[in-house]
Amino acid sequence: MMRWLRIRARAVAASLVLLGTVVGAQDSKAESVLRISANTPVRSLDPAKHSLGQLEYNYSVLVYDRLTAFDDKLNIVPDLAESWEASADLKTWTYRLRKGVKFHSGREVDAEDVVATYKRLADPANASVILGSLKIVEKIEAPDKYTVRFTLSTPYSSWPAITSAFQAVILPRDELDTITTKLVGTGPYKFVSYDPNGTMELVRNPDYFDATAFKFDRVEFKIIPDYSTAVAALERGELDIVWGLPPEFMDKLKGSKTAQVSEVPTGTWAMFGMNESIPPFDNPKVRQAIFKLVDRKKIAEIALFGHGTPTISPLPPFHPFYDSAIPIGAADPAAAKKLLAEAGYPNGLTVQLWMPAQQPVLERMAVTLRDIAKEANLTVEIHPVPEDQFRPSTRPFMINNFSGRTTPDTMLFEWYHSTGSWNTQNWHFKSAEVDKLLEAARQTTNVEEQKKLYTRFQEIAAEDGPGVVIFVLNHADGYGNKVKGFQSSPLRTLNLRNVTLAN
Amino acid sequence: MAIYFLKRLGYIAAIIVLMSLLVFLVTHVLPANTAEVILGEYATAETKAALEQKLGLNLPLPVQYLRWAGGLLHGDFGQSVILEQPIAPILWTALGRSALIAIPTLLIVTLVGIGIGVVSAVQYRRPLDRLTSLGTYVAVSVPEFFWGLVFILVFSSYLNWLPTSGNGSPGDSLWARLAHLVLPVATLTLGLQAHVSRLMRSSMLEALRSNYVRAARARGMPERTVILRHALRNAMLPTITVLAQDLGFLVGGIVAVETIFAYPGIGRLLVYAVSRHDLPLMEAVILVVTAIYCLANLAADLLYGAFNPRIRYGRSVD
Repeated sequence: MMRWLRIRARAVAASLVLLGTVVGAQDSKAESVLRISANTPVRSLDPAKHSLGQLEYNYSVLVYDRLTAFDDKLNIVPDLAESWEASADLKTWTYRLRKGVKFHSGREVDAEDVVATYKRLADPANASVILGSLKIVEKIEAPDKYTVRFTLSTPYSSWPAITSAFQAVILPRDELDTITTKLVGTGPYKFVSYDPNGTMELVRNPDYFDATAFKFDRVEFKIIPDYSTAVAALERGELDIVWGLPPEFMDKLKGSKTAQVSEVPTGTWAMFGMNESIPPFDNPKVRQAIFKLVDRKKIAEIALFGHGTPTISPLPPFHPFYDSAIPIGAADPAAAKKLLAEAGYPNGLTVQLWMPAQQPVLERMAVTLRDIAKEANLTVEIHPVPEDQFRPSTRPFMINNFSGRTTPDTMLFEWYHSTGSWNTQNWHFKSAEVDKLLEAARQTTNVEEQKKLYTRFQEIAAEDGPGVVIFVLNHADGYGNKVKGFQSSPLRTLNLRNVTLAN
Repeated sequence: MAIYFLKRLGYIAAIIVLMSLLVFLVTHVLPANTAEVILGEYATAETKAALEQKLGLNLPLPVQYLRWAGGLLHGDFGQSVILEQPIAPILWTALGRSALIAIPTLLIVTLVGIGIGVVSAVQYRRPLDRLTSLGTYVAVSVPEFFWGLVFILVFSSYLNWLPTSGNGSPGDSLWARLAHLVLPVATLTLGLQAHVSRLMRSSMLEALRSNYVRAARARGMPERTVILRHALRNAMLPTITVLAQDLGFLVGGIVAVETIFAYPGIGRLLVYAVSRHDLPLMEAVILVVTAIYCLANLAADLLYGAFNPRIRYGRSVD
């Protein structure tokens, strides 16, 4: 028996070696394939419901096109629309479509497709996540085959940002019923298959209007939930790109011989939110005390290991409107203690801090606040809850992070305006001056004027708001040494334009 | 025999119906709801209501259940509410892939587990027994995800023999695809074989000390025949039971192993369905897993009857 076992073991070892050489020997395929990892499956295959980002946005930008898009410097650039213009009152927006663009199913895109796409997005029955942004649309028309006209109920200077939303991809009007079973877009890659926990496969669209910029015959997204596994696969050459490296893996991969990291600041921000409809946060002194306890620089350093930048509001520090003259205050526990006493808590106060579980960055933020709060006699009890049970609207005090938007208006309005969708649900922050500033900025296209308004806004946001915004996070992707011409984008989606694989 | 078999099938059907009700009810008392999960941070009362209407989530619970169960009776697993695609193809593909891990694992666990158990019983308290005991305890006490990561580090990153994850790409060769199975199977086997080998060792020890083994030895039978024909056959019985139960552990282990190795099987499909509150998908996966577990236990019981030593022994002795 023992001898048999020993022989067996040797045979197994031998066959393992054999397998290894066979696997190691696979290369020199005629076809070029780019393999990318994503750590979570999509939430939905209907672009109107894309809200998770990650894989959703990454395949979306390859399979679909929008009227307008953002480049990596957050400028609005043409996509399916060649050009656009607003009427003097900023209420009528006219887009001219690129001619001769074809859907993957073969038909040419025309203005009626755009109208049908936007009607679908604006129909509450389809539960589109940008429904709120489309409330100001009064009319969508197609005056001719290549012209689309939006008529808005109110002047809105940032309208082209709305038409760049990831959800606003142009779909064929005659295939709207099969959006999730037969994915048809106009983008540089055609959808082939998707296996919720396995691979999403795309194949090059030779008819794309800018086809020469996209070099790979196929693109494969692999869902790999564990970053340790994904990084090991990258270093071994099984993957070409690991999308969205967490801070703890950025430094690890920087020392790799076979792979490297591309890191870029983004607009994704994190905040301690305070619900002003729930005591004790209905008391302005308590809110001010929390502002006094936060040392943005220190928290950014501890929570992100330096892979982020402190900021005053969701307006990121690299934005031209960001005002670096406004001090990012250090913590002042003595002042906070005094404020709490004035608020009626001279003997200390206990607050419950809620946060989504399994987010190490947010955990480190929470612990840092808890430690400094002790000096002000404030006890912070931390409650991590599973993400899908984390409902900010019922929590008095919370930490969360939010994907960056692309224009000052979309970055700020929904959070700081008293009628903003996020604010009315979660924080109930009200400031007449902030309302006025945000509204005024919507009604002008004069950049100097806008800058003045947003500077004043930031002065207020440094000390008051629906919560204390702490930092914007960096986004990083890991990529193999064979990948050439790749750079991470602040939009957090992969830009594969002119990226190639060296052999 | 036929009546026993039919009766057991009846029980299995009842268990499956009960299970489906239980899953349905449990998911409805969970705090989050499907529409919120789909819409995420952008959920508003309006879009939530619209989505619930579209997905039929606003109907009364019994109606939702009967709709779903009615479809199932026609062999229709329904649509995944998250993917908005039919469930059946997704489910069978994932199940097939998991079978590629589970079946080799069970085979290896059976062979290796029984082998180690017999050897350590025969070598009772000698160094080899102590060594296998220690090894088995270490293997079983450390959770799968740890072994998984260790294997990736050693066999993929360091030795560069085997792929870290996934199940290969559409164009890969058969060998390349098989290579993806090695580490998941090895990880699962490590923990499971301990159940079998420990149980096999103790029942083998018991058998070796029994009177009939003593009698066989006294009659001068070669030790090999005593161990393999007399002791082993008797000691096999509890092992068959534990193997059927191990199928349950296997499902748990598969969830962990598929996650570490990013292998797209049924375990991760279940996690996906639960985390996304995709009720029809969750129901489908759990029912298929339940059915497999019940059938495996039935098979074990039938096998038990076939292995019954009193019948076999009586025949072979004269």
